[in-house]
Amino acid sequence: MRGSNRWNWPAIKGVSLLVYVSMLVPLAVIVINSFNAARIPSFPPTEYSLKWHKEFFADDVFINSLFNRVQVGIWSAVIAGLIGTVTAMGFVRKKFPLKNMLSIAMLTPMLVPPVIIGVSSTIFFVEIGWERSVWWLIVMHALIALPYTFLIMRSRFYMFDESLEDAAMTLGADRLTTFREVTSPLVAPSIVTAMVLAFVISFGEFTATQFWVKRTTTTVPVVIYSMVRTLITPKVNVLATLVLGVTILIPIIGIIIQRFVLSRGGRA
Amino acid sequence: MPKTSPLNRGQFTRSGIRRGCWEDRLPLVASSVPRLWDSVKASIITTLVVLPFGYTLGYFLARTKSKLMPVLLGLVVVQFWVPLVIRTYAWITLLGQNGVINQALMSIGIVNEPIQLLYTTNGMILGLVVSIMPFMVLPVYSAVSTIDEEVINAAKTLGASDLRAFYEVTLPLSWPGIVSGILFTFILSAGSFVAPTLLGGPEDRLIAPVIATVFTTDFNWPFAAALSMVYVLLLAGMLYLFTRKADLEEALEGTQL
Repeated sequence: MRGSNRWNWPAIKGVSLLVYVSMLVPLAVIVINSFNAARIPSFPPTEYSLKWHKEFFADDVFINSLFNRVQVGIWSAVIAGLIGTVTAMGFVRKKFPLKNMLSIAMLTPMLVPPVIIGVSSTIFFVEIGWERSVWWLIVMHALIALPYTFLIMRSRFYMFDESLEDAAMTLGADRLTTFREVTSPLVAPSIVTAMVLAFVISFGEFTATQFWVKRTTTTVPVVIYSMVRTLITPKVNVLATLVLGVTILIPIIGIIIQRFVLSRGGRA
Repeated sequence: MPKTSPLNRGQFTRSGIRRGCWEDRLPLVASSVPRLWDSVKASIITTLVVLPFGYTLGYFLARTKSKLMPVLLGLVVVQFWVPLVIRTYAWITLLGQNGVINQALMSIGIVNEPIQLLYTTNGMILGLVVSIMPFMVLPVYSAVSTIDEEVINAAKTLGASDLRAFYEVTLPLSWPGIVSGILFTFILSAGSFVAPTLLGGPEDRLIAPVIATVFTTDFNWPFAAALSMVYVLLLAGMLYLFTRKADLEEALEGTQL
């Protein structure tokens, strides 16, 4: 009987559809509005044009902020990915005191509101006399992304079959060679996943980031936010559309890299 | 120095901290209690709205037999990748006086003139709910999809109605997903900054925007620090209550697929 395990299925479908509409329609409106010719955006547009796209690409601020963002994202993804991997390995394989408390401590950046991360780190950096630079962003974004990379890598190491390493060492490989030849190819796909996630988190972070930027190191969400708050120009829709494209493309590229790493690891 | 005057940035020195100005700052902090209450209230409302909708979609994704299921799941995951600022400001065009929602309401005939949606508490809650939704959908999806359908069928064979089978089998078994979703919804909405400032009205001054204003506009760093501390203590207390009912670490792992 088809309906037996489907409790109120049509109602469930209807509510689900409603949730999809609420999540996707706003994004669709942004993309459509970036082609809107009118200065004061109304929807649906009465006239379409590419003039905001042209103005957008003539403006350095946007291109710079986008470039900045990608740069910060890549650096913090690499840092968070590596630290997360090493820490997760330690947490899974070694015994040490206060382990439970320390693993909660690793996750605190997920629990502390971003405004407080932004305020407290700014006070701290100023106190120790560290000049505001792009490194503030890289270090702090790596910190914010660290719990996520840590969790991904920890569950990977839980599943790891350590007898493979033992086999390599019995056959005469030292620890470093074992790590290079056995451990790292096996966990590489998860590292890629972790780094892609870290990049996405860094790319989209706004609330804490607004405290760390200065004019030359500004980032896309900060630019969009200040444009929306002050003068709404249709160019903001072009920037958002571009970011939508990037944020959807990057994980897809990540998946392709992961497949590639996986296929190489499988052969080795 | 008068008690209520904003302390300037220069006074924030090591010695200044050690000297301790809690007595001076206490009235200021006390004046922010309504802001804290507003934040807690907004997060409770958000959680109450997100829970049923997020659960339904998560349940749908776990139980649907549709071939489009990977695409539908992907559409939820994509929401994590799109920056929060973009997902929130998108509502400005929709909620405005001439926005799509007002046009739709007027064309159906529910209202005769545009109603104020943008810059109201309802607008803010709507923005919060939609932006946080994926954090409820994904944990519920992974919890429900691990429930063996045979268990539910067994309950029904033994005479349970659909409703009873749901309440006594599916719901308890998907509890870890619900807990994880509630935790994320609460943390994210209690700390929300973007939705209140872009969609909320002048009366929607939640604690996060207040701290940011005190910090960047008034340059009153010690007050911002004091506010942050009170706020963190409040959240820590709530998290402590949470850990008595559920495992915090397990809940935090819930958004992973």
